[in-house]
Amino acid sequence: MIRLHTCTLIIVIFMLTACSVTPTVWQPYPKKLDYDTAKTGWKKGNLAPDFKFKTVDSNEKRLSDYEGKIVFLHFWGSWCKPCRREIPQIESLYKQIDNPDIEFILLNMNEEFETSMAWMKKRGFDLPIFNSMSGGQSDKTPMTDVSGNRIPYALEYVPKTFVIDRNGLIVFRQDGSKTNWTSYVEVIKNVITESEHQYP
Amino acid sequence: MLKLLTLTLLVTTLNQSVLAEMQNIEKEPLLVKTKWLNYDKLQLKLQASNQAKISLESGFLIEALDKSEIIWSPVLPHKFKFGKGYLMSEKVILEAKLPDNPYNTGLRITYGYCPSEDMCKYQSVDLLIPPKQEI
Repeated sequence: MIRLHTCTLIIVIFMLTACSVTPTVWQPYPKKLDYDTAKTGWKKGNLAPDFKFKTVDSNEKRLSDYEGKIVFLHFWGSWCKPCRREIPQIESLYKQIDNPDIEFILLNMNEEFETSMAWMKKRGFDLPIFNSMSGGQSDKTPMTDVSGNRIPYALEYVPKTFVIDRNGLIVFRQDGSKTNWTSYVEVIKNVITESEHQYP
Repeated sequence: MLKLLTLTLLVTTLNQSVLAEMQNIEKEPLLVKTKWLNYDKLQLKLQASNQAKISLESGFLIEALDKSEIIWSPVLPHKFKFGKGYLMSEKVILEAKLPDNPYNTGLRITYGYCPSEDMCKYQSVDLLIPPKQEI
């Protein structure tokens, strides 16, 4: 009996340890989604909060403007080494996907938009960058939702990536940088067909 | 079986130690030393706590907590930049000239902190300016 308990304890400890180091992986697309009851938030399975940002031409945009499309939403800053390291991979992903149903939105965090833009331009990246209106490094929670409330703590660390489906549901979240974004080409393309039957 | 259990518990304990150490760094990754060099000159030195990764590229934004009490040189807020990589050795970031003013006030330093190789964030530390009689 003692031996059985010991074995159970060991298995539990190993499972807990394994859970703590499991990397973010793509999960099968949920088949039964109840969009009416999904909470608003930044977790996978939440409805992405609507918020405001600006184009390079200073036109105001909202995330909800992209309803009906798949959004690859990426938060970054040229001051952040892990962010810089993965931009070439994201550029490659962007060019490989090349699908009008998928919108890439890269938002600068904690630095002036001009700085982010200059960094991208100098290195010849074509990724669509937008202005989060963060205004500088002292503003820790720089973005506001459509009601003017600050976007909460979840976005404090960068880089951070979300894939949002046609209905505004977060179907993928990546905290921190990745080095193999291009392996997600088919996965992200599949969100188009996977979420199509759900979209009214 | 007992050895295996002991080994597992040891690994778990070590993991907890590493976690505790990370939480300690997370608590205050940047150490700041202040010193009056003379009557009107305050020196600030920065150092990374316990191998914490403090980004140099994001710079160090210094703001006065009470802007009304002190005329700073350079004028605050001011962003100090040192180059690329991480803060490896101690850096002097500010030698502020403070005019004759009896008030003590505080400073806020905002900096880029990377808790791992994969992510970074901005963090702030507030510090009080030491009294001048400690010169």
